[in-house]
Amino acid sequence: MSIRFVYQVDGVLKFLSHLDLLKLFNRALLRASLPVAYSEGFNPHPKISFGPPRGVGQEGRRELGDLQLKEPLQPEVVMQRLNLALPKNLRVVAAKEIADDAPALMAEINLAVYEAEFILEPALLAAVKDKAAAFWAADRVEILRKRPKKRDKMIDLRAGVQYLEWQDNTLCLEIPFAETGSVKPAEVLQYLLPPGCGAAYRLARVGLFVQSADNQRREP
Amino acid sequence: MYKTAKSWAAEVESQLLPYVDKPAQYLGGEYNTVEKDWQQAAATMALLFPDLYEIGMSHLGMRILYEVVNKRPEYLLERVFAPATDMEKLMREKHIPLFSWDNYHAVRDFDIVGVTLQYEMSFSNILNMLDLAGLPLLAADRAGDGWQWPLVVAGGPCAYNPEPLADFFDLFIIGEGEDVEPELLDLYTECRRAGLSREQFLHRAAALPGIYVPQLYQPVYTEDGRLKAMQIEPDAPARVQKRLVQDMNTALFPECQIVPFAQIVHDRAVIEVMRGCNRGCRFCQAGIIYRPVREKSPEVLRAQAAKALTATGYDELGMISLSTADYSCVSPLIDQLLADHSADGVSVSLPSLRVDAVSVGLADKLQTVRKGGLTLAPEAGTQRLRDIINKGVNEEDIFAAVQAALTAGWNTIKLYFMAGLPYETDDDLRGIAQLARQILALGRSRAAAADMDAKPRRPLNITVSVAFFVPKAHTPFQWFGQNSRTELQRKRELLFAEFKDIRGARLNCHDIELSFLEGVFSRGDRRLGQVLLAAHKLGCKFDSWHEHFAYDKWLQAFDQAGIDPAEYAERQFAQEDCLPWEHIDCGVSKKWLWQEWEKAARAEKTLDCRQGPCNGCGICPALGCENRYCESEVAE
Ligand code: SF4
Ligand code: SF4
Repeated sequence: MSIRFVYQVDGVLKFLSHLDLLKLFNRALLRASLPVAYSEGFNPHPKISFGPPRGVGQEGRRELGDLQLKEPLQPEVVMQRLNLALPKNLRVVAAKEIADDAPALMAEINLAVYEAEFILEPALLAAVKDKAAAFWAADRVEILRKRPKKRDKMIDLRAGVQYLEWQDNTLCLEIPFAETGSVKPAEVLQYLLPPGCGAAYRLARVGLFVQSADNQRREP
Repeated sequence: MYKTAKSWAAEVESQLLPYVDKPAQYLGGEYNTVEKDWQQAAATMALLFPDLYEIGMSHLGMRILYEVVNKRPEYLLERVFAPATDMEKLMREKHIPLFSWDNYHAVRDFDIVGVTLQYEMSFSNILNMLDLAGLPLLAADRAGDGWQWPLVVAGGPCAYNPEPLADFFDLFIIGEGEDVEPELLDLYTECRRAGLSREQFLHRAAALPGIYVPQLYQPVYTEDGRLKAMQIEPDAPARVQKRLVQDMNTALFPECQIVPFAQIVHDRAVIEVMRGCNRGCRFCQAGIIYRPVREKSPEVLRAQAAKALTATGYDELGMISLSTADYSCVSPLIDQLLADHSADGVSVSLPSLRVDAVSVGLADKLQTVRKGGLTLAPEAGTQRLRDIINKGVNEEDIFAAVQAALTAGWNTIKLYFMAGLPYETDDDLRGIAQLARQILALGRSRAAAADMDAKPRRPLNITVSVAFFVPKAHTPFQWFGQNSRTELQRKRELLFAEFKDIRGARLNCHDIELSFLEGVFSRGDRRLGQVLLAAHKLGCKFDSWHEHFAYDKWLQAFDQAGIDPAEYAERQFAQEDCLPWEHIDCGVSKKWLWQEWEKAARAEKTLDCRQGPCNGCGICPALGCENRYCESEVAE
């Protein structure tokens, strides 16, 4: 049977890379002694898969994962057992059964929603808000993306942002996954911040969605 | 807990981690770490490993001490590793002091700071870390203000010649830490409760078996600058005898092993099958200081393996010891472990192999080193030299091991040798090349045979790795002066010339400068403290990382301290000389070591006492211990 679970990752664990997290889950599955299904072949690995990778340094509030089991088990039991085997700052908060042939998370998810809480004094925050307004009004905002061992690339930041909205000092950003590569939330935030501010915000990915052509969205 | 500690978590999270390379290596709270309340702890201890997290967490001793101290409800121990250079730079910029990984407590707020001494070339990192922690480097500079500064202590193999570091530490723990570490904490809390001074505490500590308090021992030098004797305070023991665990079966072992978030060098669950190795290779310090052999019973190991695997979720189990193939029940134990766990996809690995067909057979059974590479260490190129160093390996063993490896399908073999050994001639070095040729020929005849049954085979490839010999304290070769740098350079060139025409063999040699510095410190005395201080001020750190090693700065440091390093490295000690580590007693008698040194001159071998009678190394009577071999049958 297949289980889809929702997990949260915060505290220092937001600094784990996608690969670190994969390894962590693989070991947690063994510790939890869940009847996980394994892939065939010379080097069998547990059948667990995740949504699109999150950037290092971002918290995850509703991250998604799929797990295949050899034997049926209540989703709540899977959740409980997994939680006992996870380190602090990482927890499963929901689990449900899905069809074995449900589309893969990676294939379906096409929208990520972020929240960035700015930690700035009022004057600086006002400047950021002004810049955000100008950004939203602009047709194009080009920046140079630095790429390790490759030439810098010109990208249009504005085109990569579907929606933005302020709630006090928190900026909510909607960024679709584009086939040509999507913008990174940190690129938008760094653009908005005056130079020299560093990462003066707490960034979280708060949701992953499937958005249809008519702008309806659902959590997979 | 004699200081309240602020956690630097907020600063670390917001000002450091977002900006450093591989932040996962700085995260505590890994699975199986223990949560302890600082306020409730009777004493707090920081355990420093003077290298990166990926190295430190691969080290079993670190895990054992973490367990031993934290098992005691009243004590708290947190881990500290060396920050990589990008992290260090940021920490210095933001004035964030060195912190513990577990809860980001500042190192300077702990009651005791313990440092593990694994290799000489980590000494500069130790000073750098103490500095980054904001601690005065010299023990004398920490003593003036009573208990304001933590007690800074050290243990580990390099504590067997503690003198080069003596100025920096309040005390050293000699030998295995399992028992003495908690005793030290007990004494510490007792003395603090009784309101004793730092000075009084140190005198009491010196009376604890296995504790060396260097300030109570003052070296006296002759007019020509040689060490004459140690002047020892009346209440300190004349010699500090090492501590050891008598019975490994009942010794505390961390089964719930910490599972790092970041990739580390040895990322697997481990069991320690035994401690000690009596093969008596004359160059080997571990073979002396970890005597005698204490094997664990297969039942205990089976249980510990099962527990470690379920508690960690690792799919690899390492069977750790100095020479696991020598473990009495190695083959049945491996069978048992495979039967217990291979259905769960767990593989079992051996860290090192003996050079013979049996060991290769074991490795093949384990299938872990997946036909990538097999490592064998004949150490010397000719039988004469192998007998001199008492490496109990002959040519037939080597060829049999290679044959077995070829049969099992390995086509890459790594061979370890040393150059610059006592009584070595150029013929011995040519012997290394000769051996390489013979091994490659075996590979070719094998390939030809395989052609006939039409299975295409990749040709055999060998890598020959040559280390330059560094004489170590407490070994039969402790009296031997290291070859000069020019001599080692000449030998290096000779080797490369020999290997130039050997197709299928790759030669690499260790760094001469690094081996030279290691040689200076491994048999050095207290005067080298000045050099370490100067080197630290010049910015030396991470010396064992090629990209950071700054030889010219080291030479400058020697110069500033007015010390000729070659005099230390190349010094040939005489029998009657007072050795700088004379007051440290590893249990093996100096007399026996000298006999071994003389036997080496005659190329005479000494057998492992496992295979024959006691050969009188002295440890068993001196420490009231004995070799413990497990029963050779395994309970079904
Ligand atoms: S086999 Fe030789 S080199 Fe290896 S640990 Fe034993 S004494 Fe040392
Ligand atoms: S004292 Fe004798 S039996 Fe004991 S380790 Fe030494 S040689 Fe072996």
